[in-house]
Amino acid sequence: MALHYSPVLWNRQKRLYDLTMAGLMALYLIIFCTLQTSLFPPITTETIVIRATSTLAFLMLHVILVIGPLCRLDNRFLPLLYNRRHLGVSMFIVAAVHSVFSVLQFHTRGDVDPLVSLFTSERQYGSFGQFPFQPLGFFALLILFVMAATSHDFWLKNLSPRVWKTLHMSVYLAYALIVMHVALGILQQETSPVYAGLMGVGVLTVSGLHVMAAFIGNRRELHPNAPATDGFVAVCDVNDIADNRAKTLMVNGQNIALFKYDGKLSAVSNLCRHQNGPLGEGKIIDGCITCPWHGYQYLPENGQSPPPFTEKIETYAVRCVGTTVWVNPQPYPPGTPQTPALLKVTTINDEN
Amino acid sequence: MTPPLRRAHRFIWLLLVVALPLGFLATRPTKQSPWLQEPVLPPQSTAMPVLLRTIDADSLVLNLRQSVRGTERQLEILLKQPFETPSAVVCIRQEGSRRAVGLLNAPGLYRFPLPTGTNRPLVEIVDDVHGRTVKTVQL
Ligand code: HEM
Ligand code: FES
Repeated sequence: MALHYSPVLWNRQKRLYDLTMAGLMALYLIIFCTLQTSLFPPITTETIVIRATSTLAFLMLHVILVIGPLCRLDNRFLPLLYNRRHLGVSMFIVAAVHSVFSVLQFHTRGDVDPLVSLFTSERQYGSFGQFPFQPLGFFALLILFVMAATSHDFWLKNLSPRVWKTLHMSVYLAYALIVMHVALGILQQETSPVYAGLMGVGVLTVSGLHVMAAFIGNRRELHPNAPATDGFVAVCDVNDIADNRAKTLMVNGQNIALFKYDGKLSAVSNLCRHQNGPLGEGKIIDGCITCPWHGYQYLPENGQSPPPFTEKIETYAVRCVGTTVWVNPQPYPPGTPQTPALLKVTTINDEN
Repeated sequence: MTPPLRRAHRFIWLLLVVALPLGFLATRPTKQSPWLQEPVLPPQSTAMPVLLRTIDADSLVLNLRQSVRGTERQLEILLKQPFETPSAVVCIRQEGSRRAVGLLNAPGLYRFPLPTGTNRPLVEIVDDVHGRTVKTVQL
């Protein structure tokens, strides 16, 4: 990463992100608790804590889950993605408070071990409509715990981005478990359709955006299928690429980002070394390809992060003939320098 | 994201967009409100004079009784040992529907009025906290 630029900006952005998040969380808790105490005066503090934290965690989980597809549909949401990890860890902490208070309130007053009680106080495991809801919350919390515990980049490096991402996809299972935790729990007692309606809207928004992103997001990628000449495939017209931006290509199973900058063209792997972020959706800042997810940077000519960083990505050979760009989809080892293709600048002299 | 991860995402969400609403809907109408919210008639202190049937079922004896004119019926239960469950609701099942008629607590003699027309009831003792049927007796 370019030292003189990114750490300062990203860190300020990070602080701003965390402050906004903490402020909004506090605001939610204050409003929720005030409303509960004034609308339902006999309510106990434990119940307020259980409800305030559970609803806040559930709301935060919805926000966390829509950030990904929103970014894929529209780049303007990218700043939200930058520090999503802190949002996730905070959500886990809030959900853990809800869980601990629930266990204290509902499972420590009997003569059975609290964890045993959690699994045996309701026994209709054979029924779908009356399945016990609290074990579902327990397993969801377990998943969130594993994710929060491995959220640090230390684990990302140790587990490899692929394994890490796969592990973190279990948040979808946690989400499904929590939806059922609520549907089989509180929604069985709350007869007002407002609560069920709210959750329905949440579920449809999250899953709808994901499905939309999966189909619409793919269309932005180029899939050139012309036969290769001399190993090179014609991929697009030079003018299709904006300055300091890229086009993403899928050629022969290779996910390639083709950048245009300073009258040159370079192609590198589209996958950021950090978490496989889509480099082609980022831009060139201070001469470096900057990942849109968390700001890792790479030089377009050689796919290397500027010192002191050591990350490297695969590079590809590029040619520009007329205004047609050709890319050789055979990757070079990470960090291999390539001569950028020079754009032929059309001037009045050329035309004469 | 790598193309395989993208494909995995697409697959998972296509599954969830169908499964979550279905799962949600499936939980909607099924759960009945607790039986204790149904009217449980107060136990009766005197036995009806005509004894129609008696069944001895280990920890309890069940008698089906009737008034002299035969218009009213009564379920008499002698509880010899307490149940180990926190709650024991006496329900009768007839023609597919189940009604709670009373509660059993300490050992002793209980008499519950039965709805008119009760002929050969299936008596179920239900632990409604855990939603389990503890005992079933055909009278
Ligand atoms: C050991 C784990 C958990 C236990 C024992 C547990 C227990 C409970 C209980 C007893 C309720 C009903 C509270 C009431 O009647 O007001 C509840 C509701 C709820 N839980 Fe959990 N839960 C656990 C984990 C979670 C997790 C991880 C989430 C994630 C966000 C969550 C979200 C909710 C929500 C949204 C509600 C409905 C709102 C409410 O009534 O508080 N729960 N949970
Ligand atoms: S994925 Fe995190 S910086 Fe690229």
